[in-house]
Amino acid sequence: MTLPWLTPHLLVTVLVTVWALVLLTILATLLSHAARVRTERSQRALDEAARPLVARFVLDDPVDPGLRATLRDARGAFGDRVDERLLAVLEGITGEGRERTVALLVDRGHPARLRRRARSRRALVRAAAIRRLGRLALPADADLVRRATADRAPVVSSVAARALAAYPGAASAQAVLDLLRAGASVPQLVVVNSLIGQGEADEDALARIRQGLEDPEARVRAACAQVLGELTSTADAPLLGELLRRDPTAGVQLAAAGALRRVGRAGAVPALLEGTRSAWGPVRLQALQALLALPREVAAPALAEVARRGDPLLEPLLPRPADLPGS
Amino acid sequence: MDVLELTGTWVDDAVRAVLLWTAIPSLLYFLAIAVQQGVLVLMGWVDVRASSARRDVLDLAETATAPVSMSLTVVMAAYNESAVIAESVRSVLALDYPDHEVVVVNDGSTDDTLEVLRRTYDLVPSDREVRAAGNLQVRGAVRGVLEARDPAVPLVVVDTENSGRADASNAGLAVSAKDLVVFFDADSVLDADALLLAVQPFLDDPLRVVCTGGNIRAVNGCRVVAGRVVEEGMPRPWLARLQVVEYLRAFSLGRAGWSRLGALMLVSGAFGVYRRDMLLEVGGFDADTIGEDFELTMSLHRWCRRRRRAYRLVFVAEPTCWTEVPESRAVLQRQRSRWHRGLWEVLWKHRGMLLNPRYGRIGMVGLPSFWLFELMAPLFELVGLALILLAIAVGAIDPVLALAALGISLGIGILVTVLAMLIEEGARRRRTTVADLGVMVLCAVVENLGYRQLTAVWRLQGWWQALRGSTASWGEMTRTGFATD
Amino acid sequence: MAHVLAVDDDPDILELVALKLRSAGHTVTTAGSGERARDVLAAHPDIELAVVDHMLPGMTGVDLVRALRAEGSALRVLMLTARSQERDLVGGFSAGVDDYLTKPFSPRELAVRVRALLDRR
Repeated sequence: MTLPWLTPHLLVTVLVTVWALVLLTILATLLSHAARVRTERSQRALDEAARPLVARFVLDDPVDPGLRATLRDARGAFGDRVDERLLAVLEGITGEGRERTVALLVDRGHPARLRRRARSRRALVRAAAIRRLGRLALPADADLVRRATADRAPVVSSVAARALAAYPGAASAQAVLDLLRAGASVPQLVVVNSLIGQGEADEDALARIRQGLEDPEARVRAACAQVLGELTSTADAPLLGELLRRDPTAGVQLAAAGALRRVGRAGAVPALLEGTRSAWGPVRLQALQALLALPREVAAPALAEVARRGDPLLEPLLPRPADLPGS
Repeated sequence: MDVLELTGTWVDDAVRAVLLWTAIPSLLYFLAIAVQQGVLVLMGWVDVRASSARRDVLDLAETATAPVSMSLTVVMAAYNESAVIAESVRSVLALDYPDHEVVVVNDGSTDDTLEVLRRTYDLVPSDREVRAAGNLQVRGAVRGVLEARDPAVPLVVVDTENSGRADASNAGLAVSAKDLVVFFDADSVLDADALLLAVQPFLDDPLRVVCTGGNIRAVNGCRVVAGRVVEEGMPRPWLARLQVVEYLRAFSLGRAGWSRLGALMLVSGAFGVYRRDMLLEVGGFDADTIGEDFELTMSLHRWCRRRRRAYRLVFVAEPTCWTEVPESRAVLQRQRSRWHRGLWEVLWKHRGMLLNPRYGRIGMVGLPSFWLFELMAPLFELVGLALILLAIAVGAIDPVLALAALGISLGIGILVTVLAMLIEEGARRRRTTVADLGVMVLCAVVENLGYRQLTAVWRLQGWWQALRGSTASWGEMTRTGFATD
Repeated sequence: MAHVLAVDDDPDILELVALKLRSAGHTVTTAGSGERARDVLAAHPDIELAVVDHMLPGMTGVDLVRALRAEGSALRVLMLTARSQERDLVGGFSAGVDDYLTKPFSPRELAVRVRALLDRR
């Protein structure tokens, strides 16, 4: 039997190629591993040197000018670690120590250097810069961070969304909501967290979030509903009830039902009862949980109605008949 | 090139005929499997990179304080686990998740599993009920439902007669009252943030995502303290080491790749998060099948596609569940044999989906791939090997050619494995030592010199047993009217 | 001027807590995890107070406190938490936590609360 194309030459080429690839891959793995271990080790050593210095600087009263000078002039890899430690302090501490830390970071040329890095070609560098700017929360950087939400890399836009919690306001809330419009793959948790922080801190942001309940984009409506629920303002209950009843998108109904668990009022009972009839399991579950969160006398008739229906998904949550007054 | 050198007797004619008829299909099969592996490697790489970038953004220590709107039930079926049950339940209760409950189902243990739980958690009778309704059936008789006296401890214990893990899991499902359900083994170990990570896809897309699966690794050789893995390491026995490498390949490439292709075919029962409403729709686990987790995944695909519901199954690479792998040949043999038997049963049960355009990617790409490259793989491997050896022995084939072919095949097998290692190395946040990497590379080579062939034999045994027993069970299947839904 | 234990897996916070309490005159031992904390407590029975972070890997802060109380420990516990949600605070108090401080916290307030707990005899 002859296979004319099956020459020894071909076989040898394929054989050698395959084995060369095997060796290359093993080499690449070992190199990648070695590089990672080396970076981690050196970072750990530098951190161990920087940390006590930073801690002393933050807590000392009055500040030792020599220590401040040392930290201010730190450069290179050590300087990078000093920056990281100072930023970590910003996350954990309030009060005088914090102001001192911000002042030192500004002295170290921070905002300028970070703003430069925020224009880097590499996404991870941009993301790291935006993250740090968010922690510094200097008013001058609000625009930069806001614009970063439109970045083409999801890592950067996500980090920017989170950083905007430090710049609460209508424009920032809008920027975060616009992320949802663009369909970027930003984790829901990041978006919601940022909006909650902004809504808590700023009236205008809260107003913008309320406006978002009528946005043409379903994801925006859903996020706003969820955020309003977390901000526990019962004034929003009627709006949320309307959303649950009227919104064409199941995802929005789900968010509204979930929000009503926290801010539901008696007036929402009819909408919630309808919600327990939804074709979507999760919507039924959230609606029932919202009913269960209301005072028992208010929700009793609705709960009895749900019990009558015998929905296997909802039954494990229903209270025992003895707990339902007047049924 | 003249491939066959024959000496002109009838034996040679026979051999020539056999080789002729098997050569081309074998070559095609070989190329097809190489292409499939190549695609999975690429997709696996993309998926793990994306997952890892996301993990960097999602600083979970910070976002653990954020609202997570989906509550979770952890269902643990336990049979004779008195030694580990208290610690296991404690570590699950301590998992980092804002709103979760734990349901332990005592599957008719003959040791004092129930007593241990009763003592440790001060159990009192509960008024929760095991309600099997709709499509969900629970066969094991329920002897009682208990709960922890302390209302701050969200633990429910269901005591049933012995009816097998699948049925016990269904009993646990029937009593669950949260949005999501995770099925968990008492002897597995979960990372502290595993649940939060595994639940993220549900938060991003609560109505489409129906199920997510996480990574599974061998816990042999790792240091476990208070129900958590504090130090990773390779196990000492070679049998376990070979399995570590297998799992790496199966998950980093297999699951990650298929998930990225939108055709995740199998979410392991050891670490799968499901939406409770979907589980009730498909009736939980099929207690008659051995591969119950595979069966559940297929049922979900089937249900959603029949109803044309937009849906997703997602593999999340970061959260890890650590499970013990067999260290004795006998146990490993039983396991592999059982797995393949389960594979066959489920593929056969859902054969209506095969090459059926109604089932989209699952029917047209995923299932044919599983039939060819999972089910029939051991057959092709062993037969192919036997034929080449036969041909060399008879002198019917140029031995150099044959060895070259074997060398290429071996090389590709090893290449796929080391690529999986590279992908893992680039993504993982953990520490593997250079020594461990070396051992893994060695395993990648050594597994082709007997281990793969041995597991292939065991898998064929399982398949054969299933085929022999299937005449009876096929009858049962038609009686229960499986085909309608 | 007591012997105090600080438990936190975040080394920056741990360093700050330790330094602040040392400058207030206490002797401070540190631990990076719940398990390590138990070892330290067993080795140093003279420790009167522990500042414990809520979120620890493995054995959580609340777990640690619960375990200590079950052993009959009279250790004072001040818990640092990023969670201000009701459920966790209630859970912590019922487990035996004496006082809470939410992050981000003021180092001065930390020292004051530690002093107050130690004085409460």
